[in-house]
Amino acid sequence: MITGVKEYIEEVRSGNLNVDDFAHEVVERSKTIQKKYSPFITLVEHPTSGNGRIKGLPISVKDSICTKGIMTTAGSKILDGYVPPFDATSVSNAKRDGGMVIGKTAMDEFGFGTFSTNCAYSIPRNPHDTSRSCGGSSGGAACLTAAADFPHIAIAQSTGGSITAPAAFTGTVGITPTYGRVSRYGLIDYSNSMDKIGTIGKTVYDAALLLSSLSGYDRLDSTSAEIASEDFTAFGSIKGLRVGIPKEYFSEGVDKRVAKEVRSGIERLESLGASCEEVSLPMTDYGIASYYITAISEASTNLARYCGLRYGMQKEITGDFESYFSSIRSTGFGQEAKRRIILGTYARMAGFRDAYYIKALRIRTKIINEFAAMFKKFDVLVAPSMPIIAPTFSEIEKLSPIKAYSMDILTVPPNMAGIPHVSVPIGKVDSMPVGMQIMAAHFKESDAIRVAAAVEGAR
Amino acid sequence: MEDYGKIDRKMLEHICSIAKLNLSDEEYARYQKELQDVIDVFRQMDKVDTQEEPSYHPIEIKDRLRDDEVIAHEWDPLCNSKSFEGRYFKSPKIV
Amino acid sequence: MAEHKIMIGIETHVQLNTKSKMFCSDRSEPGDAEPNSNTCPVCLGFPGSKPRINRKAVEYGILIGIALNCRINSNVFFSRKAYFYPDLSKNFQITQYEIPIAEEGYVQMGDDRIGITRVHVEEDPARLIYQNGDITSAESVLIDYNRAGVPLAEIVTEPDFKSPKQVRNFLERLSSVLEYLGVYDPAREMSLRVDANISMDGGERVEIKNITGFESVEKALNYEIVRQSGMRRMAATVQRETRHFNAELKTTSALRKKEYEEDYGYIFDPDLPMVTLSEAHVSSIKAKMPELPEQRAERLSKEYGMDISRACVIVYNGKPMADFFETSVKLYNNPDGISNWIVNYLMKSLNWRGERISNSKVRPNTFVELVEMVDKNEITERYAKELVKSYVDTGTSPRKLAEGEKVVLTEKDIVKIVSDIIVNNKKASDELKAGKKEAMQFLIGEALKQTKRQANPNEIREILTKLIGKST
Repeated sequence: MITGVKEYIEEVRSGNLNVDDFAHEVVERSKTIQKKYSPFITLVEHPTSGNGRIKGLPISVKDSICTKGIMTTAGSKILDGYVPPFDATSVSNAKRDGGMVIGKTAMDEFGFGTFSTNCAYSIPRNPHDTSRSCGGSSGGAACLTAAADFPHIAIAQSTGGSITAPAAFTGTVGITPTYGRVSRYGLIDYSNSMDKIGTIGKTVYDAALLLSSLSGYDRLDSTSAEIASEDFTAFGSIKGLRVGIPKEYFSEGVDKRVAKEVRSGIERLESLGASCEEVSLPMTDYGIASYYITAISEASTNLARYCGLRYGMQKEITGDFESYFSSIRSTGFGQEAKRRIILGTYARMAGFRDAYYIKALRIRTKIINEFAAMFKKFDVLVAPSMPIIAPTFSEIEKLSPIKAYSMDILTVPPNMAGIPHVSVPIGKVDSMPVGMQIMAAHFKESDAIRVAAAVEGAR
Repeated sequence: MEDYGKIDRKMLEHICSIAKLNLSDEEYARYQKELQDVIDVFRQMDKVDTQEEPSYHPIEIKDRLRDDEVIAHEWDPLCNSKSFEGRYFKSPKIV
Repeated sequence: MAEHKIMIGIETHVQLNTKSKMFCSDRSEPGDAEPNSNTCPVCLGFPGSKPRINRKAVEYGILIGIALNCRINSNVFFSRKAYFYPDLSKNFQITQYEIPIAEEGYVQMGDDRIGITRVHVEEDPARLIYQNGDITSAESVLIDYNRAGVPLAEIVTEPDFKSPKQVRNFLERLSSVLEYLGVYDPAREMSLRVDANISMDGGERVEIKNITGFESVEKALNYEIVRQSGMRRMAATVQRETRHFNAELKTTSALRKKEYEEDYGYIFDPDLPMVTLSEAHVSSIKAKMPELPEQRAERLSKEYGMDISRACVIVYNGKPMADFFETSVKLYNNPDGISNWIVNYLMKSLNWRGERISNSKVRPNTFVELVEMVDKNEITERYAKELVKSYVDTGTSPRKLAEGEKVVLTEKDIVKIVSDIIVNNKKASDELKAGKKEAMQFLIGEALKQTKRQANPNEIREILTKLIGKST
């Protein structure tokens, strides 16, 4: 069985592959992986594909992204049984190019989490150490990518770090593109001004290849960038590239061993001809507060529609609407969803709105401006992806909500600024993968991607 | 303006009635502590002086308008509904 | 009624007559289509769906703002107004909160100026059908989302109204302006709804929600004044609350207590862009603005030498009537005669039949026939007044209707008819000779029948007297 994406595409092109046999084998192997690591919420029994440059290539889809005819839950019980009547644009783009959808991957409910432990269905286990988390919220996507013994690329999604965290924890490559690069039509909303669809692959090439298919202007999404897709696999040299190293990303909150691995990665970049310089991003410290308030303010309105009418979890319609809605929402939402709805409603209330919601938006402006100023002097910024290695499930259980939110400290700023960034495996600590993130200016995915490719190639 | 940094039981109950959530006593007690800790961290924002305008998106997005034309959608709106009467959706009563 | 200090402000919701909905491309026609047949995942709030702004609806909002003398804002935003209700498919309504299309305008009504606080656009919720009852008593409730997403313009006034009658006059004016702008169709049912806020003598504000029909608005407010004065007399305090108007009973009843301002937790809608309305853009819209009723009335008065009050009657009857007038005059150049027949006779007939000019059988080319025939003395005015009724009934050309009717009788004709009546009604004639008054009435009646009321009763009396006298 071919395991690499590049070889797979070659085999198909040369006509040596029987696509039907291949599909059948993929389904069997997926089931085995599901038993071992639980990356899926839904497995497709008879996946199909059309023609195109990635004909028959197995693609998994994070369960917050709508797939026509395939149950889509966003990891929540409140959407149990929901079968979308349409494909998200990103999915139809992948299918247009021949991609074969093999299943929907597990995630924190609606994207609320950093460890995929808030999934109401299955909690994915890290293939490097099954007592540890895969990260979140795109945990299932990263899990499957790491474990797959067949060619596969994952469609994932990030709001505050949900592609970077799982990629870093599972030793895979995660690309979070510029906000607006990939259409959000059909993405079940978490925070509309920060949600981005991206990819997770075993290699930089894989993740970049799928991103090229997903990208492009979509008139159905009013925030979709009017910019054509690119061939993101056209890596170039990084000689002479100017690299900034933000010191706040190496502070005491970051595990020293993780920082050390990333610094070795940076040395590798220098040996390849990049010039590196330390910089400061003082707004980093305010990212968590500003991110969470913006995200939950939007999320609490996005989640209002889930009330047992027209789709998803429904009960027999009796009594008045307030009781009916409350009953559905109280049983359908998990704890984290309830917390975020409560906080998000609070942050928007008259009297508090200026101090929380509006203030958070102003701080976002500062963060955006801070990065923009950096990219006048540097091509990319490089830092650790996460402050820790993948924690164990028992460690996660002991985390209070605020402590859990603080794990996002390194991923939140680039996500808020909507700048493209890539997480690439850079080393190991205690046999667990460590990721390095490479950030670039708006719509300069190619800069971040070629740095990631260079680092990967130099291992 | 009320002290915008305090989450007590009364405030929680008020928010839950707006957001249509029923919490148990245990949840009220637990959330009160957890959410107060979160709000205390949110209050860090007070330290930052902001003259900047609020940002609505990470990149400037303006004037994406749609022409006024009808495009009929072929689908069954009742496709995921468990409660309907004829072609109407069923709703719970108002009062 | 004792002198009360009354303050009324209203919010008017107008369905804009765009082809498609506010945020999706479904047909915007909440009429009698099959339930839920004009829907898509967007207006049904399916997960993952996203709204897209209808350009025309924004333009209509700008037109309304200009017509109401508002300032048009240069960067406008859409907001989410969050509350739970079965008619809201997303449990929030996309509207405009912080920065609407237009603000700070006014409408001059005689000596009074009514302030317009704002004009903005938003989406209509779905239609709820209450089975076996109304909002408070229905056994079950059904939802039809055809209406969900229809573009609405919301026009908010300052609390400048001092009486329900003034509110009604304003609504009639506003409806005319909107019709002339071409942004709304008054014939469409439920296309204009009003929320009215009233407070008396510095008391609490009472809101009456969702009233359709100008008459109902006036009635609801009158009822409130009576109710609230009654409470004051009993030394009871008027509560701040939301009420609902029952059109059948003509009363208002409490819906829910408004203890606090409903907390809608507004945020900017992050799925939608900021919309820039440049001065150049607004100017070009202003330049293409249709003639407003006030301007039209002035022009009609000048161009056709008409009294301004008569011009207003025609203009405010509706744009179709004003168009009808001008087209008629183009066909037959007697503006005075045409406006007279329209204002004094045609309008009455249409009202009687509950018709508007646009859905009647009346047409300019047939209507002018009537006026022409009167002018040329082919028919008497009296006959024409009757003819109007059958003309409006049938739409048949007045010339055809009058055909075969020797409609204008000469004096000789009348004398002949009266003579015949005397001969054919010997008993009555003899009684008349004997001086019996009833006989006179009877014979006049017969003569009127025969002359199809063309002759004047006094004229007939004179002729009878003469003829009877002759034969004595």
